[in-house]
Amino acid sequence: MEFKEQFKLKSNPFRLTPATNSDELVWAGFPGIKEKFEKRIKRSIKLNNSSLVLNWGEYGSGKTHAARYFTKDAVLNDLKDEFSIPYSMIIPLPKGKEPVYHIFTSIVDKIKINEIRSKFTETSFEITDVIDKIGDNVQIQSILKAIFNDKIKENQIKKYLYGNISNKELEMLNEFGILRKLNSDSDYTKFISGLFSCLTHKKEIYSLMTIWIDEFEDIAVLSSSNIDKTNNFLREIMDNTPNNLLIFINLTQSTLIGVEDLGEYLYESVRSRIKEKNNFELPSKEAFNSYLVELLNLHSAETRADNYFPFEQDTAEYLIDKLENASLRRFNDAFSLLLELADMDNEAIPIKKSYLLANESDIIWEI
Amino acid sequence: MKKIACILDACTVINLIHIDDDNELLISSLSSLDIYISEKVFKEVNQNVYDKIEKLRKNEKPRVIDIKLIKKAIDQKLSVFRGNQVLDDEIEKDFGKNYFSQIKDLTNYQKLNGEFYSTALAIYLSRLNDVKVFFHTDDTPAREEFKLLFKHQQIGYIEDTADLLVLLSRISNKISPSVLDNALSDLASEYATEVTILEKKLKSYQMPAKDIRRMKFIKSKLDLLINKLSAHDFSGIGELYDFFKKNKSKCPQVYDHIDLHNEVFQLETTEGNNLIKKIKELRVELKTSPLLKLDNLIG
Repeated sequence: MEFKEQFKLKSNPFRLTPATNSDELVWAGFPGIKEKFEKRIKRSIKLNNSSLVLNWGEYGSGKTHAARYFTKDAVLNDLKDEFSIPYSMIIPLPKGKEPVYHIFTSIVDKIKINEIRSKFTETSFEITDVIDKIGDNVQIQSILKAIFNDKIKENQIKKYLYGNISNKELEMLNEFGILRKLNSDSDYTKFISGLFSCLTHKKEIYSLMTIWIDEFEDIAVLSSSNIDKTNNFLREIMDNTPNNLLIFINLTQSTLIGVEDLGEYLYESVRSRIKEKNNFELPSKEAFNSYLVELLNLHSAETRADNYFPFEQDTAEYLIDKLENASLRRFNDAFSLLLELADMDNEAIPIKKSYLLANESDIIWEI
Repeated sequence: MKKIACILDACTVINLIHIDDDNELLISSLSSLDIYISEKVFKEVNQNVYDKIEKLRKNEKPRVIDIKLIKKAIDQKLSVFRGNQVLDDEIEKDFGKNYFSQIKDLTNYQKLNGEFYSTALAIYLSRLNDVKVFFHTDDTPAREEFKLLFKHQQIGYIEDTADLLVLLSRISNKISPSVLDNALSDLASEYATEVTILEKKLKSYQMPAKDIRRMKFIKSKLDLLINKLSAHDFSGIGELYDFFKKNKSKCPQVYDHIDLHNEVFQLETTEGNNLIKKIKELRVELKTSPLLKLDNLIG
């Protein structure tokens, strides 16, 4: 589809699949919630404490998009001011039998060991001295030192962390003080919190660890013992990483779990640490309008005189009217379909209201 | 002969294997009951009990060692059930070669699946040993189908895996209230997790714009299924399963998802209740009104 020529757009702005090119991942509209995130991240970049933030809203209200947007390096670079950049990642809440191991694996998946090593070559402190002061578990300290030791290949240490190392390969790590495999939730939690503390030490290389736990509503389908393990993990990670850790929890409200039911699944010891709650409310018509105009502008391939191009203004307004009480996802879905169907039908651009009316039942789905 | 005879369906055996931990308290407690499994069901268990490993491979990144350990644990638990198998030949030896066709005519049930053979086994045991038997299955449509037959023919009762767990707790001292609560929670989680994973996979499926007009009827059925799964409203989902099976060639991705998570469709109900909801309520009830055991009554 030649969006550029026909629609004067760089790409379909309403695409529902995650953008592969991070430049396409933009924030349009909803200035209030954006500002709340910016303030929270900026504050955590500057201050030393650790915080837990709950984001909640309907399915398709933009929580995962917020996570993706605020883990972008370019966005974090703008927020950091004179401080160093945060280390950010998104992990889904695991649904399997060993939630802590799966959180650990998701984190290891995202840790770029060689990049970390090269960044930590010139620091005002010796990382091994820092590690010696982290807890009293010598085994964990040795593993943390191995992360920063370029004598051990990245693949070898990753294989070790995933637990896929043979006994013979483990023997080769013995000289670095690594004598056994990681095998308990306590090991995984201590390693993660130790790593976070190292990465953000003195806020020199990274000012902050930001973890977005997506799909947190899945806690409602875990068994009671796994709910227990997930709560213990969250409590311990906050206890053991008292500084420079910001955890966002994304919770999709459904008939099964609402924010008011969270007490059933999140223990008081964890809930009491929630510093802020962000509600992703269903957008008003005005909010949708500003979102549409900004989004089209951000994806525009050239300067445009008309804010609504490639739609006629009354086409866009009619569709917004029809989408009252819809989620952001349904809004994007409808506009994306309108654009793609018009493209398929070689419809004249800007898209007229008459075309939308003729195809309304293909575009707006009653759910 | 013990006092309580139970016939287990494949889903019940598979669930027991998956929710029982390394101490195997649940499976070892089954020895207090007379357990029977039909030959057909045992084959179904063998075919499907390892599906979880396949799903684990697809959805997560398990360690090689974990896969080996999980498989070993499944094999070990499965071997316990081997001795409970009742071969079709044994039944035919006692009741004649046309026994199963006689039961087919009686039940008017067209599918010769595990539920049919379990029902035939139930009739056999009830007549041969002059007992009432319990048939445990989580397949709600099958339960509904055979409920009246069990009553009219005075065979016994059809119950689900949650009922079996409560029974085990009543008769075995090894199953304390907290072990029972954990087992019930694990059982609910087995089903609820499947529902959630399927719901998320279906939600993430995007029908290409070029297909929208041609496949409008599929899109509306898909939206209906998603809504039902997210609300845990399982009424009529079997019909939706059949619909996607029939239209498999038009929308293969959707069918692949629902087929991989087909356990979800066992939850279909006409009464607004379902196993997940029942377990949730049962756990609350058992906390407020604990199960009365023999030990509680004597001295």
